[in-house]
Amino acid sequence: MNNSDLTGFPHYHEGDGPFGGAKATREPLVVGNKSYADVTNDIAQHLERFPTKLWWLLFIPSFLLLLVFLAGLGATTSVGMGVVGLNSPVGWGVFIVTFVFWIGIGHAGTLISAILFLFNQGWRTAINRSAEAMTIFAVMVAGIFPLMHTGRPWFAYWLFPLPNGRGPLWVNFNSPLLWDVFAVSTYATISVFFWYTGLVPDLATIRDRAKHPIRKKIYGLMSLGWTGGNRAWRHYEMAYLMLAGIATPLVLSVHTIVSFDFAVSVIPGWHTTIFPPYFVAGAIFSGFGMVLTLAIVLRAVFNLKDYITINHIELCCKILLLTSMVVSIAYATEFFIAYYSGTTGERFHFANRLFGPYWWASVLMYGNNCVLPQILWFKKVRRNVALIFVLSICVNIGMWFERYVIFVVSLHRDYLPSSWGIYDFKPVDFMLLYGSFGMFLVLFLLFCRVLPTITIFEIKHVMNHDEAVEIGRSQSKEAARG
Amino acid sequence: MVDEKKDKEVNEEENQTPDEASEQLPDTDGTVDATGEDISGEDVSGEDITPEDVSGETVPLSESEEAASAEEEVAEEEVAEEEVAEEEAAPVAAAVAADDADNVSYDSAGHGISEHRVQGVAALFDHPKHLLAAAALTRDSVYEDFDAFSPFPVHGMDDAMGLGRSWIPWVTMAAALVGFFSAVAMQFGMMTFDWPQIIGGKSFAPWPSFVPVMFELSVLIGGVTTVIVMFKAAGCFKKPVIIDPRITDDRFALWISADDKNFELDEALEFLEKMNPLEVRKVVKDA
Repeated sequence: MNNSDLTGFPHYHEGDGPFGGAKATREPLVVGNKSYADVTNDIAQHLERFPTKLWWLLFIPSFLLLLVFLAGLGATTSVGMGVVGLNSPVGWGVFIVTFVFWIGIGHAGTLISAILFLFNQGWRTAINRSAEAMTIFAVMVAGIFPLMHTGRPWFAYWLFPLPNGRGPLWVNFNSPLLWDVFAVSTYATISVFFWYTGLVPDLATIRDRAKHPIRKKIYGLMSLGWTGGNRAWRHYEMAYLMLAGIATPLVLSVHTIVSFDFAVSVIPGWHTTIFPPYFVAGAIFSGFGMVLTLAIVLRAVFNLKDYITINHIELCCKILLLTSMVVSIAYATEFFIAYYSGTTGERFHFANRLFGPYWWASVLMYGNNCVLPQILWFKKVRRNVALIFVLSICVNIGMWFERYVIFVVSLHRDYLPSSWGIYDFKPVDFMLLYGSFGMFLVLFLLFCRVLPTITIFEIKHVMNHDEAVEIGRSQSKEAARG
Repeated sequence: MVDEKKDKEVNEEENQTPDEASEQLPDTDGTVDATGEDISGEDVSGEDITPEDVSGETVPLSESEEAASAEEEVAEEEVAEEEVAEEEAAPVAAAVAADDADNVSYDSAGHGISEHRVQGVAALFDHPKHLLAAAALTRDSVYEDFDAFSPFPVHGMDDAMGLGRSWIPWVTMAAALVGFFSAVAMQFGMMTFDWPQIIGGKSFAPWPSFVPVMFELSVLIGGVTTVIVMFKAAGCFKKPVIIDPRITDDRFALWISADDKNFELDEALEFLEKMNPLEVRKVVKDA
C-alpha cells in the first residue's frame, strides 16, 4: 500500500467483527511496502551521509538566530534586567511568558511518548522520537528563562536546598516557585532518561551498521552494549511501561505546578482554581501544534512520508481540535466565573482583556486558539498538509499570546489604578524571544543529523510481520540475482 | 569472534547440494509437512529460488510456529518433538542453509578450535514467528541458558521462553519510596526542625505545601533508578557479543550459551538444525 492509497477510513471486509457489527481493519501505519531492512535503511541513512543543502538552508538561519539569543542573554546578564521592557507593575514579561510557552511545548512530547503508550496507540511510534527530542530541547530552552529572570543567573544554585553558611538558611518549600524548580528539573531529567531508553536499541542498530571504526566506537558506547536478547527486552519493555506510568502524572504535575505560580496569587485573572487543568490542556494543545510543524518539515526534508503518513497528520489534527476545544471551554469558564463571582476586579480584568490596550493580543489568542482550529472539523482540511502546516504555526503564535495575555494583561492593571502601567517589548525582548527559537532549532537539527529521528524498533514492531518478511525475502533474492 | 567465513563457505556448499538431509519442523497436528520434497529434486541452486519454492519452504514452518507459540500444552510439544526425531529422513528445503557439525570445529584457516573458546551457538531466522517456535522448542529442551535475539520485542516471547514477569516494577516502587521519604525527611527537617520560621502565616509543619516536592522526588529517583537497573539487568555496560550485525536490523537468532550445563557443541548444533533455520552459527571467542 502506498501513501496515496490511504483514505483515513477503516477497510471493511465480509463477515462479522469480533464483537458484532461490520468487520473492519485499520489502514497500515507504515506504507510503501517496506521490509524490516528498508525501515532501518530509510531512517538510518540520514545520519550516515553528509548533510543535504536543505538541511544547511535550515541550519544556517537557525544558527544565526542562536547567536542573536546568545547576544540577548549576554546583554541581560552583563548590563542587567533593565535592558528588557520589564517594569513595575509588569515584572513578569518576556522571561516568564517564553518560559511557560516552551515548557508547554514540551508537554506534547511526553503525552505522545507516555500517555499514548499507555493507551496503546500504535501511531505514536512514527512521531514519538522527534516529539521527545522536541520536549527535551524545549525544556532546555525554557530552563534558561527563569534563570535569567532571577537577575543574577550565576547564583542559580541558590534555588536548590544546599547547605550554606547563613544559618543554614533553607529554601522556602511553601512557595510554588520552588516547587517549579523541582518539577522542571525532574521533568527534564526524566524526559532525558525516557528518551535515551527509547534510543538505546536504535543506537545499537546504528552501531551494527557503522563502517568507520570511530563511528562504531562512539555508537557502541552510546548503545551501552545492547544486543537485543529477549532476556533484555523483557526488562526493557517493563521499564518502559514503568517510565510511561510515572511520566504521565509527572507531565500533568509540571504544568499544574507552573500554573500554581499564578493561581496562588491574588491578581485578577490569575487567582482561579481552573488554572491547573487549563494550563495542562493549553500545553498539550501548543505542543501538538509544534509536533505538527516539526513532523511536516521532517517528513518532507528526510523523505519519511511512508512512516509519518497523512493518517498520522490527521490523527494529530484530531488531538489538536480536541485540545483546542478544551482550552476554549476553559476560556469561556474564566469569563463566566469573572461575571458570576461579582468581584469588581475580576469583572474589570476580563473587560480590559477584550477592550483594553492589549485587545490585539486577545484577538490573536482567541482567534488562533479557538476560532481557527475549528476548520479541523473537515476531513479535507485535516488531510491538507500545507494548510495544516500554516495552522500549526498559527496555533504556536496563539498559544504564545495566551501566556502573554494571562501574564502581562493581568499585571498591567490590577486593583489600584494609580499603579497601572504598560509593558512594551524592547529590542532585547525580541532578541530573547526570537533567539530562543534559534537555540531550539539548532538543537533539533543537530539531533536529526546524529540520531535516528524515528524509533526504528517500534516501527518494526507495529508493521505487518508476514508482509515485511515476505518483502525482505524477495528483496534479498533480487539482490542475489543482481 | 564469529567464523563467518566458514559459515559462508559451508552455506554456499550446502545451497548447491539441497539434497542434504535435515528435519523439518512439525506441523500443527504434529506431523511434518513434506512439501520440501517437491522441490528437493529440482535444480535449485543457492540464491536462485522461485517464489513457489519459498512458499513451499515457508508454509510448514509458519504453521508450526503458530502451533508452538499458541499452544501451551506441554504434551503437544512432546509429541511434536518425538515426531521430529522420527522423521530423520525428511529432506531439507532448498534455501535453508544447514551447517555441518563435523566441519565447524575448525576455523577458517583450518585449525581446530578448542571447545572452551566457543561462547555458544545460534540459529538465525528471518521471521519473528520462527523465533517464537524455536524459543518454545528450546524452553522444552534440556537447555536453560538460552536467549532469543530480535530487532524488536516479539510479542509472546516471554511465554515462549518460559520467562516470568519482569521484576522491574519492584525496583521502581522501592526507588520511588526512597525518593518519597527523602523528600519528607528533607522538607520537615529543614522547615520544621532545623530553622522553623513562619512564612505566609503557615504552621511550622505545613505538610500540604510539601506534597509537590514529595511527588517530584519520588518520580525522579524512581525513574532514574529504574532505567539504570534495567540496563544493568539487561546485560548492558559491558562489551557485547554480537552474534550477527543484522540482529538489530532484520534477523532473529536463537542462542544457546556454552555456559549451559548441558551444552555439548555437536548436540547443540544438531538441535538448532532441527529448527530448520536459515543458518546455524557457532560463536567463538577471539576468532
